[in-house]
This record gives sequence, structure tokens and C-alpha cells, in this order.
Amino acid sequence: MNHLLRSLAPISDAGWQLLDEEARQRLAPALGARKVVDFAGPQGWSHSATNLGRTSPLSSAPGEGVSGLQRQVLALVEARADFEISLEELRDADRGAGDADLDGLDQAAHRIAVAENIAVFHGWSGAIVGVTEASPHDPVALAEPIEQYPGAVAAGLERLLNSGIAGPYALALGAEEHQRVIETAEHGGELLLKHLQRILDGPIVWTPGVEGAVLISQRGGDFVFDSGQDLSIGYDSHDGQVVRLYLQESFSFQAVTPDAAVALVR
Amino acid sequence: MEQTPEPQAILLVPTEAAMFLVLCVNEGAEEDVRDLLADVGGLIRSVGFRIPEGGLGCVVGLGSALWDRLVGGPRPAGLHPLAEVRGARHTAVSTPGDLLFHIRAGRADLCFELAQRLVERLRGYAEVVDEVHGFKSFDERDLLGFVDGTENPVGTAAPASALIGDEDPDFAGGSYVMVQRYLHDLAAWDALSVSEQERIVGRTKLNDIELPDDIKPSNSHVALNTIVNDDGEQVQIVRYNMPFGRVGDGEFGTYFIGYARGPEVLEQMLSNMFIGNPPGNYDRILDFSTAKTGSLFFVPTVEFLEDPPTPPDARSSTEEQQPVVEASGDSLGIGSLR
Repeated sequence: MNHLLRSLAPISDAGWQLLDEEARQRLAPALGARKVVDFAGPQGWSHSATNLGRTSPLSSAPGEGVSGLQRQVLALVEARADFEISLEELRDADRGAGDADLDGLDQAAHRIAVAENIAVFHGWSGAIVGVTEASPHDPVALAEPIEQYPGAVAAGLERLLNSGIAGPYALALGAEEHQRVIETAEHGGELLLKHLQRILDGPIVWTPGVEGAVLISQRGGDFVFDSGQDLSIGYDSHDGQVVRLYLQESFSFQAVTPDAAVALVR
Repeated sequence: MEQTPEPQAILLVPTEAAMFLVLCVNEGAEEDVRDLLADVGGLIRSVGFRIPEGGLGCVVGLGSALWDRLVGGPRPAGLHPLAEVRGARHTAVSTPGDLLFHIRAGRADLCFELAQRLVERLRGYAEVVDEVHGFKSFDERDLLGFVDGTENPVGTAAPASALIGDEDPDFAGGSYVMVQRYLHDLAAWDALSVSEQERIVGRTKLNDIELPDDIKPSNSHVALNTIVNDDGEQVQIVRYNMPFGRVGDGEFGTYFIGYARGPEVLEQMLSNMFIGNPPGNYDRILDFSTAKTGSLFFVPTVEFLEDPPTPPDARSSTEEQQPVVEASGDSLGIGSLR
């Protein structure tokens, strides 16, 4: 048994299968950041830091005639979203009920996916520098009316090209922006979504948690998500009515090439 | 970087004493057996050093099924379970065997001591399914009274016949060994005249001369075990057969043990003897000798024994970082979504 203590939970094998499958289904669409940045690992729960290959000088050394340097690493963060599941629901699922209420899990999955997206794109104070924080480019304004959207994306793309950042490019859209884009048909009836896809040559990704939108190069190697323990469900405690579980992951994120992305803000 | 692999001590002059142990490894004891294999060399040295002139040697063979459990991965090209060879009158049986210890020395005490140490180490991990104590009988005679092993290849022909070469480079320096425990019907044999016996064996009894081709019957033991390849060259094996027996039980036998660089030649000999060449023209010696056991083993190199490769599935859990396994265990396994 590992630190997730899953075998201590009053949950059958079939129950765990149900929970894991439900979590996967809920997480996959919402984990927008993973669809546009490089993913390394998972390296396991005991993986605590990402190697940066950098050093910082040390003012003193423990012996004469000796100099020293200190390695720099990027410490991983742990993200955890707790939730409760009714034991009654799990028992019914074991009996074959197909409509078990797993709402607690669904909400936790959304919370942790949003947190991951925010951490990657906008940072996690004191722990992670996000894509938009790292980007040296001035944000491009997303102005009304919506018809100007392709123009804004093109302007952002121009900035990346000017910095020597090759495509293809992806557009990570926050929930609101995404809704606007897919709803809109431009003059002439073409969907805005299709128009943008032609400009980008890369995916348009629903990324709940992102403010506005982020244009990000997909050539690879620019942004690295270093996974320690990938998203997993662990066991916390239970009583007669509910079992308290959590979704958990550990990761770090590094913008290796900060100028390979540009923010689009409203 | 490439080192010439060191074969086990297969090629020795015939010894005064030998023991043949065939064992089956218990389920789940693979790791313990692996540990023992690495220690066999040390055990031989420890026991053998007490009587250096005794020339103690031990060859270890691994059966096909054990290979999959213990090693996995790429297999020696010719390693497979021995197939039963069923002729019209006689059958070469195939019997279980995971491990073979072929122990030889100038004195029986050395063989016995090493066998004892090996089996002690394997107690609870493997069961001895066949144990034969062989002895040298006069001038290398079997209990049928004939000299056995005269036609063993000598000089450079011996390693060329017994050791795997470039045809299977990953296992070069290894060998294949087949064992069969034969019991003789001495009463029926001794009822024959010597000249009849000589026609069955294909050699003269007293002075061990091969019969001329025009006299030697096609169903004689020597004729059927002379294998010629497509290029017209004789293909040989290296035999270290030993007589054994229990006079009180009327048990008189020959333990056949033949090393070859490929199992095909061993199997061709079985086919010639039991089915016959042409079919029906079977080895007459089988009318007086019954094969009670039969197994095929791969004989790895010394380096291999000292550090056998781990099976592929165990490799991922032992050699790679532990966390990777943990992560793929209970994780949802989402990973990259690109």
C-alpha cells in the first residue's frame, strides 16, 4: 500500500473502478493546460524537485582554497481537492445501480483541474511562475465587438513571430471566452472557431480558470509540466455514512522559453 | 568491449565418478534459485579445493520452462521442451526438469559433497526428480560390456561440436544438453552371442573397433547415430555417459548425457534411434534398453550464471525508479493530453 491508503477505504474493487473512471471522465476535458504544454513524468510521489541545471554562488566555503556553488531546483507543489462520497451510493453501485451520485467527486475533479490550469497559465503565488506571468510580451487586448477576435489573435501571433517563435500555435481559452468563440458566427456565416483554427494551425482548447485567452506555441520544449504523482484518488477517513477521499497530484511548472506565449486579455 | 564468453566446464576428460541431478523448481522460488545459480561457482571452488587433484566440475543446465520464469526476454534459439519421440516399438519419453546439475570428479566423495551442498541450498525451493550416481566401469565400458564414448570429438572439434558460436551470438559459449536415463534388460542382452551384440552396437566388444561399413547393420547403434549434415560433414555431440545400477534390484543402466551446439542434432539422433532411419529401421539397442527419462537443457556461460538477467516484468519494478511504478499503480493515468 502506498501513501494514498486506498486499501483502507471501505470501497470494493468495483467501487474504486467506478470512482477512478468517473474521475478520468471529468478531468480529461477540463485539464486544458496539459493539452498545450509538455508533460514530463510522472516521476512518483517521492519526486520533490525539478532540476534546473542552475547554480547560485555561496558567499563562504567550509575550507580555505575551496569554493562552492549551490544547485537551484524547482520544488514541486502538491494540490489536493477533498470530497465525500456516500457509502449508500457506493453500495447501490455495487448492486448494479448505474446512476450513483458521485457529485462530490465531479466537483473536486473540476476544482483541481481549474487549479492546475491556473497554476500553469497564471502561476501559484510563491511556488510557480505561470505562462502569462513569465511572458515578456505586452498582452493583446480583446476588444468588442467579437468580430475583432481574429484580428487580436493575429496580432498576438505577430508578436510571437517577431520573437522568432515558430508555430503551430494553440489558443487556450478561459470558460467565458470559449463560450463566446463557439457561439459566434461571423458575417458570411463562418464560425469564428473555424476561422481561428485556420490562423493557428493548432488546437483551440477549453481551459477553465484562464483569464481571457493565451496564445502559446506548440513547437515543443518551451513549457514543461513536471509531474511527480499524477492525479490520483486517495483515502482520508470514513464514518458510517460517508467516505472522505481526495484527488491529489504533485507537479512543478517551468516556462523554459517565456516569450513563446502571449496573453490576450479583456 | 566484447569479451569472449567463458563456457562452463563442459569439456573434460572422462572422470571416475559423476552425479546427475535433475530438479523441478517450486512456484515462487525463482529468486532463490537465481541466487543459488550465482553461488554455484563458489560452491564448486569450496568443495573442489579440498581435493584439488580430484578435478571437481559441475555444469548447470536450465530447462525451457524455467527459462521463462527466471530469465524471460530473448531465448537461446534452440531452447524448447524436449518433444516425446514415439517410434513403432519404442518411445523416447520427455520428463519434467527445470535444472540439471552434471557433477563430475575423480572421486565419488567430491561429487557427493557438492550434490549435498547444492540440494541443501535448494531445499524448499526445488525438488530432486531424478538422481543418478554414475561410476567409471573398467575402460569406459557401459553395463552392456561395450566401450562407450569412443567417438567423442577431440581437440578443436570438441568445442566446435558442443558450444554455440556465431549462429546465436547472444548465447555464444553456451551449449545444449540432453539427458536420458536408460535401463538395460541384461538377462536378454547376455543371452545373445557376442557377435550378435557387436552387430547391434556396431563395434567389436573386446577391442572396441567400429565394424566395417559392409558388415555393420544399418540398424546398429553406431550407424544410426552417425549424423551427416547437408554438406556431407559428420555432426558430432560430446557425450559423458555413465553406467549406474543397483545389483539387488537388478537395475543396470546407462545415463546418457550429450552436449551439442544445437538441439537439432540431439533430436535427429533420437529420431534415428526411435523412429528409425528410414522409419522402421530403429536402433536395435532399444530392444534391450528403455529410456525412463528425457529432458533438454540450455547450458549458459559462466558470466550468465553469475549474473542472470532479470525477467522483463521484474525488470520494470526493480531497475527503473520505484516512483514510476507507484505512479502507474493507483494513479488515474491521465498523463499528457497533447
